[in-house]
This record gives sequence, C-alpha cells and structure tokens, in this order.
Amino acid sequence: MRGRAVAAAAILLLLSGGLARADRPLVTSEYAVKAAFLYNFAKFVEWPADAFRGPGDPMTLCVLGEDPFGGELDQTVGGKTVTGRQIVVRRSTRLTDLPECRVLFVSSSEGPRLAQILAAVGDRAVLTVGEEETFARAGGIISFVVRENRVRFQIDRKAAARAGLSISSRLLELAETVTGGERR
Amino acid sequence: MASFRDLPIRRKLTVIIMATSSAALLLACSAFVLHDLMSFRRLLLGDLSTLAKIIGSNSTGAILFDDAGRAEETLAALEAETHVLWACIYDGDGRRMAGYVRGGGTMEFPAAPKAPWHRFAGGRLRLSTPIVLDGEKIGTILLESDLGEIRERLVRYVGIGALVLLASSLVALLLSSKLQRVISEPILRLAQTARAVSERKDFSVRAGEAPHDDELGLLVGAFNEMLEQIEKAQKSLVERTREVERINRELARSNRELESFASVASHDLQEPLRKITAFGDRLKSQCDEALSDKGRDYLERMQNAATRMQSLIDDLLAYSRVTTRGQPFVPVSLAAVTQGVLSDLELRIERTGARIEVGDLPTIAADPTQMRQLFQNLLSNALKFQRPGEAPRIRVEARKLDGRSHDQPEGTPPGRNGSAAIQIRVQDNGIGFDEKYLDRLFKPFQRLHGQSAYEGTGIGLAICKKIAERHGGSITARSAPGQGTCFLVELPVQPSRGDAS
Repeated sequence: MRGRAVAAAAILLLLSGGLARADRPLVTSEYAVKAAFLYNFAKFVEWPADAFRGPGDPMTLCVLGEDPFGGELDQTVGGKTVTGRQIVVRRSTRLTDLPECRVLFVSSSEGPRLAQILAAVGDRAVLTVGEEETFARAGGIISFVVRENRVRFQIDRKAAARAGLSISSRLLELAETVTGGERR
Repeated sequence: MASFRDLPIRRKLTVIIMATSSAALLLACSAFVLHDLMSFRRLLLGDLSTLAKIIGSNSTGAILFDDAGRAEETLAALEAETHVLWACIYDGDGRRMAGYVRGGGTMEFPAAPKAPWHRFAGGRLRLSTPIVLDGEKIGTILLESDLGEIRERLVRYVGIGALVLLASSLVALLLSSKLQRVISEPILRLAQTARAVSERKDFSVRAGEAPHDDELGLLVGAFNEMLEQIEKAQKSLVERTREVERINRELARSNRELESFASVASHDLQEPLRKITAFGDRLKSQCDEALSDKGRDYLERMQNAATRMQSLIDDLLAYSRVTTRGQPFVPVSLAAVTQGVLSDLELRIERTGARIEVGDLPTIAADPTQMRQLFQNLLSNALKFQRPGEAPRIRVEARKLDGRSHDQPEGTPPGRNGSAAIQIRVQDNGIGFDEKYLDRLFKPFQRLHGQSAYEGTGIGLAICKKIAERHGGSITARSAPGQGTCFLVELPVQPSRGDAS
C-alpha cells in the first residue's frame, strides 16, 4: 500500500512537470491524479462526530454516475485508511443506492441532474466533489479544475460549513479560489 | 613583580583572598557557561527540529497535492528565522520539491537523507526530519542553521562574566582589606614589638592586649609573657654581669698589684743579694788565708745559694715581665727568630753535637721579644733534656690549622673564632716524661727532674705558656718517658681584639 502511495506521488510529480523530470513521457491519466486527490482530501477534512456510527465505521467513498477512474481509484485507496478508518469504495448511478457516503464524487455524466443530486444530499455531512466550476456553482463543496495541464481544485467554504465539515487550512490554502456559491 | 613570599603579610592575605575568590568565581562561571552552552546547543537542536516539523506539517498539503509553489511559499516563511541558512523539501520518493536559500541565492541541495539525522559541524547545524501525515511518511525536510546564536551568547557570557569578575573582585578587595586586618593587625603589632625589642633592646615594651581568644591571641599572650620573662632574666643578668665585671676588675687589679709586687719585690730582693754576693767575693779573695777548710766550704755553699737565688729572681722578673713589659704586636718572621736563637745557642749546639732541622716557618703578628724568648726556651729545653750519650736531634716546623683539626690538643683556643692559626712543633729525642705530669710542666718553679741532674729554675715553660696565652694561643706537649718530647704551640696568625693590650 505504501508502494501505491509512492506511485501516486510519482504520478503527481510527473504531472506537475515542474520539478520532476519533464522529459519522462506522461503515462498516467488525469484521473489517476484525481483519484489520489480524492483520497488525500479525506485526510484534511474533519467530519462531525455523529457522522460515523462508531470507531470501526469505514470511510465510504462513493462514485455517482459513470466511473471515470477506471481501476485507478481502487488501486490508490486499496487497503488504505484515513484517521484509522478503512476506505470503502462504492459506485452507483442512483444516489439512493449510496446511503453511507462520507465523500461523494459526482461524475460529469450527472451534469444535468446536479441540482437535484445536491439538493438530495442536503446538509448532510458529505464531502461532495465534482468536475468543473459548474459543480461549485451548483452548491458542491470541492470542484476539480485543470489548469495548464495540472489538476487543481476549488473549495466552497460556505458549502462545507453547511455540511458541518471543517476543512483544514492546509487544504484551503492550496485551493485555487474559494468561491461563495449559494445553493439555489 | 616581587616574590610573593616577600610581600608584607597584609598584601599577602589580600592576594590570597582575591586569588581564591577569583579562581572559585572563574571556575563557577566557566562551569555555568559550559553547561549553558551545552544545554543551549540542545535547545537549539530542539528548536530547529520543531521548526522543521512545523514547516513539514505546513507543507503536507503542498506535497500531497503536488503544489511546489505552495511548498516554496511555506519555506519562504523561514525568512523570519535569521539563523536558517537554507532548507529544502523532498517528496516521498526523495525528489526535491522546493528549496529555500537565505537571501534568495541558489545552491546545489544535497540528496534526500534516508533517516532523521542531525550534525553539528563547521559552526553549523544540519538537520533532517521526515514529514508525516496520518502516520505515513510523505516527505522529508532538510535544513541548515548557523550557530551564530551560540557565538553571540558566548560573547555575551564572556562580557557578563568579565563584569561579574570585575565587580566581585572589587567587592572581594574591599571585604578582604577589611577582613584581613583581623589576622594581620595582631601580627603586625607583634612584628613592630619584636622590631622594637631587637632594635632598642627594650624588653619593657608589650605587644598590647591579646585581641581575640584564637591562636593569634595565644601568640600575642605568649609573646608578652616571653618578653616579661626575658625582661626579668635580663635584669638579673645585668646585675650578675655588673657583679662579674666588678669582681673581674678587682681580680685584674689584684693581679696587677701582684705582678708589680713581684717585680718590685724582685728588684728589692736583688739589692741585699748583691751585697751578699759582693761581700762573699771579698771574703773569698781577701780573707782566704784566715779561713779554715770548713769555713771555705761554708763560703762556697753560701755563694752557690746566692747565685741560685739571683737566677730565681731573674726568672721571676722575666715571668712577670711577660705581661707587664709586653710590646705591641708587629709582623714577626718566625724563621728569622729561630735563626737568631740558634746562633745564640751555637756553643751549646756544638758542645752537645746536636742536629737541628728547621722547616718552613711563617710570619705572624706577635711580640718579637717574646717570640724570641719562646723559641729560646723551647730549643734550650730540647738541648738540655738529652739522653745520656746520645746527641740531641731536634726538629722545628710549623703548619697551618684550618678550623678545628683532629690533631689539636684538648682545650686549644686558636681558630675558634674562625681566624687562621698556626701550630709550631718542636720535637726532640730527649728523655721525655710521663704525660700525667703535663699539668705541672707549665707551672712556675715546678720541676720534673732533680736539680742535680738538669740545671734550671723551672720557670722556662711557665714563661712559654704565659707568652702563648698572651698571644691568644696555647701550649701543650706530647711525650712518654724515653721517647722524646714534642712541644706544640698554637698561635693565631692575627691576634684577636684586645690581645695586644
């Protein structure tokens, strides 16, 4: 599992292209990086105490809609823990099939139904992650953006506050812009 | 600087106190500074390690989300830490993500260290710490700090130490100059008293009351008591000396009286003796026929007795003249004196067939007439007491005495005051004598042999003794019956004070 983390870090470096050796060919997809980020987000977010049923309750990572990660996500988080909780990945095209989500990745395939989905999530302690600024505008908490071939992200602090999540300043300072989108 | 031992006690005490306190203080300061520097080093290491952990912790996000720019920004916060020279962050694979060089320079950063590590070298501290998030090592931070703070601290400590030393030295000087008096003053008073005593010979002074009940008090008390006893002893000594001096004067006076009496008496005795001799002669020349054989025998015996009495009186006069007619001391060549005496004795030497050897004889300060008399007496003595049928063999020699030699007879004074002395030996092969009669030998008119065997009054050696003593010397003899006699005369080369009087 350490090997995978190292691999993920290597990917990040390769993608960043700045400090890493730029001449090495890009073999990892954008979603390999996003998968690693998705896992890392969980490390900088604090859920309210009642979000979990007990100490043994796993950290459930849900993918709603078409899974763009391929095998990358399972490869990244396989066997890993966040604050002592086992990470479990669930996939579905219907929100109702995903009741225990702590992190909810909304695939771009769900674009048209964003508003409904987010409304359904409501103020529950779920870290919602989606694609493009449109997700943030719709009331999502974290949105992936791609800038100069690098994966970055935006965070809506108000949305996070509504969900009762506290996001580490270390994560916040890395976010591109902190938008203040209102839900409806 | 003058030798410490020669310093006055006051200064000595101050120096001792100052040296002791300064040494103790210096030692304490050094120990304190050393301890502080060591703990400061630990502190510095702890501080830098904490700083590294904070930077690492602040850059976890940047590492995980591959944000090199953010990592650089995090490192840039080190600008506030003026002693950090450079730092860099490596990711989990050991690749350098971000670097920082103080003052914005560039440098070649070392490769990522494998394990936590630190090193003090070249006035710098280099340290690496893993960056850990959620129990997982995600990167490494390496940074180097100069130890300027330690140097600054050391300079500050030395400054403070010097000030403290200076201040405490001043205080110690003040205190010691006050406190040393407790010890030095009684001693100084004692020293002053001792000086007064030795300079003025005044034993009535006292060192003052004993100030304390300690050893110094005891010393002062004992000193005073000693002075008291000395004073008492001196008083009685002065009295005794006066008494002795008085007796001495009296003795000298009676001695002089006795000598002048002897001299006067001898003169007065000669007058009637001359008449006896003169009338005896006339009786013999003019009335010879009128006398019977018996009368002539009586006259003969009377004239012999008169002659003998004349020589007794002459000897007595000579004996008393040793002191009453003494001449001042001048350099006298003993060799010349001996030659003179030998030529006087020429006839007797020829008659007896004596062989006389004379060794090297020195020149000494002495009364020339008495030296001549001394040698005359000793040599004629040696010629006189010969063994029947054997020609006298006499040897005269002298040697230097250095201090006390083993060869010196008992009770010989010369050389006692360290001045040079000589020993004159007159050795003969005559009849000798038993040494148990040595005492009698030098007494006036004492004879060991019957008058019939050897002529003489027995005053010669007594005169020799008197002459030797007047010169601050002595005379003795070694002999055994039939073994010859050796007379030993010791004389100082220079007379000591008062001898010439």
